[in-house]
Amino acid sequence: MLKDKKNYKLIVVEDNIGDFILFEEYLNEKIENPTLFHFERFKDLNDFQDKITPDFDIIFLDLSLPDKNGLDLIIEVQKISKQIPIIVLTGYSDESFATTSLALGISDYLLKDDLNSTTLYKSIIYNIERNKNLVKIRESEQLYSDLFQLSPLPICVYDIETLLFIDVNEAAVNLYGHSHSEFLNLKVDDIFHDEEIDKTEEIASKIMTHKKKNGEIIFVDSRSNTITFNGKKAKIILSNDITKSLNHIREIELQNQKLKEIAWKQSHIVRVPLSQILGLTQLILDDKETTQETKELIIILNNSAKELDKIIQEIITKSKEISLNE
Amino acid sequence: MKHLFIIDDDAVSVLILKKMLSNADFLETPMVFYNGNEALNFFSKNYTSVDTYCVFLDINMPVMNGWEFLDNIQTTIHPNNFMVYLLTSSTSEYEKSKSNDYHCIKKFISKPISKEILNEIKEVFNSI
Repeated sequence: MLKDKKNYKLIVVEDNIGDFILFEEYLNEKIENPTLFHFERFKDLNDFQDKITPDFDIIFLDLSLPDKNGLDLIIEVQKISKQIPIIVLTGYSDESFATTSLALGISDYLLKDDLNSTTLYKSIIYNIERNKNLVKIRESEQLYSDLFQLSPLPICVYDIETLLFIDVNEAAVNLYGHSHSEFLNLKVDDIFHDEEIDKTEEIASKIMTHKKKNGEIIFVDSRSNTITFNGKKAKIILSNDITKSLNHIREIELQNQKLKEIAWKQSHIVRVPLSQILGLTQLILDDKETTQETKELIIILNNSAKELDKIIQEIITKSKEISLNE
Repeated sequence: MKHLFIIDDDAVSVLILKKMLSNADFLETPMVFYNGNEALNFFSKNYTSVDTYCVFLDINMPVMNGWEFLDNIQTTIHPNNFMVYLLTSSTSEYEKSKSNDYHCIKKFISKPISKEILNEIKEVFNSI
């Protein structure tokens, strides 16, 4: 029978030399040239932890080592295992504990008394593949979690029944000023400011006023959807802070108003003294007693005033365009 | 009887208009009010349908402006013998078009009034 030629990197923590020799024999029956790292104590493995890299395939762990055993051992090994699958080696007497260890995240267990080359090889292959899938799932979960947590838009999730927040992302914490744990003690009303809305209704897009922890009122463009979150009916609400843009628009409106006032002043106030000058120059020119020399000067004055009048007219025409564009 | 009135808060404007009226040989001496309210009080007491009134009215005045004056006087006067010439430093199109809403307004004039327009007004005034 052909042996598997793939280069497996395995760690075996086993203090019983007899068991280890047997294990090695079974392994060599199926695998051509495995790279094996053998430790007899937990301490030896612990000293080796810096050299444990994700390219290791499996850690085999005997549950009763002289310096550590049982639950304690599992927890300690998991800390340094870099998510490499751990397969527990145990005797009949510990089978029930081996079963519960699966719940702790142990990949598999093998009963030493039943061990043979086939079961060992099958377990190695199976757990390597299983771990590959687990890594993919973890990555996918991480991706979804990142989409929520790292989203630049503040997102809050709250329970439809209790209206208590279930989860909020980093951007929501930054926007509202409540810490993540403070949020979990708040109800959705605590961030609403004077909002009379049905909290179970979905909102397509609505400009709402919300309030921050420091009491500051902000304008947000809010959208919400109903989702199932950890088995509960919940609402996910996305709040885009538009306070700055709204204030910006208000400022522009205010400036526009001022501009119109200036235009009004041009047309009404500035033109008053100008119309006086124009009227007076006309009177002086009409006066029979005005000398020719004075007349010439007055004509120049009259022209200057007319020029000024033209400029004011241009300003009034331009300001009319502002009003029309509204 | 024919009566001539100036309703304007601006003393220089009044001076110019008076001088021009006399240059144009308007026979009547104008009576001057410095805001709409003063004029309104006068007309409420003295208006008669048999006399003829020629009024040079400014728009921007304190207490009661030209528009408010017109709104208040409308029920008292008749546009046939009460001729209003809006005389204002404003050149706003809005005010020009607003003046079409009042029957008694015969003309919208931007200050300063020209000799030609004043002569036209004199012709009309004398012909009545």
